[in-house]
Amino acid sequence: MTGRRIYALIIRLHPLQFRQRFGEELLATFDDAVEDRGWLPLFVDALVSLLRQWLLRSKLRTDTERAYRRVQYLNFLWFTVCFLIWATVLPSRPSERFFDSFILFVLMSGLLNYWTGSPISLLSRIYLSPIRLSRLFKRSDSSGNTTRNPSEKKRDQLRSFNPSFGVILMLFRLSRPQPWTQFLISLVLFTAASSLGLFVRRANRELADRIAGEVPTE
Amino acid sequence: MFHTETPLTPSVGFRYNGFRMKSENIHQYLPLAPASLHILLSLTGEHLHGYGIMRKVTQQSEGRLKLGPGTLYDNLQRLLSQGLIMDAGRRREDDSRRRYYRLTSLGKRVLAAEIERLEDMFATAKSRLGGAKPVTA
Repeated sequence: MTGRRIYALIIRLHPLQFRQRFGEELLATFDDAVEDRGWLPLFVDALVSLLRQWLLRSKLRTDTERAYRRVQYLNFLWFTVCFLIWATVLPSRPSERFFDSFILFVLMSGLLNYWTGSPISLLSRIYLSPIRLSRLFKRSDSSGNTTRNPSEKKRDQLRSFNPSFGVILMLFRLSRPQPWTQFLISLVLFTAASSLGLFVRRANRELADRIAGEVPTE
Repeated sequence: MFHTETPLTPSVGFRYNGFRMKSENIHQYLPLAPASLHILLSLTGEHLHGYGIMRKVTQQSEGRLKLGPGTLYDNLQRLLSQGLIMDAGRRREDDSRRRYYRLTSLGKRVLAAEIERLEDMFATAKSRLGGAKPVTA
């Protein structure tokens, strides 16, 4: 049973499209073959396959998957900008600044991960990752029946992603009395973050519509 | 009789069937990798699922080639994208996770061309080595 779990974990590390298309079958074939061959050769084979998929098979990935990666990078960029803005308006004491930054980093990355399923932030994956992309793309249960429409759920989550979150937090911080120069700098950064946030939001929506257009009919 | 000046309307007489148009140049797929050759060969007689293909490959290579699931599905992914095999769906009486695969007509032609290429190579090798005698001490 442990061997099966490890094998399932290796399958989960494969690229999305491959995992989505062949994941169940791989596991079924593993169940059939493990008695004949033993688990060690199958694990080695799966690890070789993992490397081959990531290094050699990028041409076989779909446009949607590439688009999803692009949007993930955009989300990460937006998050980084918001984080930098936050760092500029932090209190002057270095010890507080570090602590606040760390807490906010974990909090924001966790919420971003929750909304977008973005696997970019390792911290958020460890502490706060109740929803994962792979689960959203799961097509059917073990009996082969489609239990939910993953694309619709993914679409709804992408739509609900609200990039103004960091800006609201920033306003909260700005409600404290600040020197005028710092306020002006923050205002400029606020405008930049809002513009980038809107852009990211639009990219997310476009991707959501694209995924919705590829809803499996079976 | 034939109005060649009139452009054809692409919307008439064509129906999108979900498959990409494949080039008819069979030689672009050659030579086949040994695993791909054995997979295509195993699918000539019947529709098989993943584990079935693995067993058939082992059987037809007399145990010399044992495909693992990762290698198998990596090859299946490539053969599917090339249009040499196609998904034949699931079967009610079988495990619902299993999907069956079958050879397409393009796959059959590519396999035939590969066999022909191997036969030519074999004949050439045989003719060149035919005169040679084994070295004896």
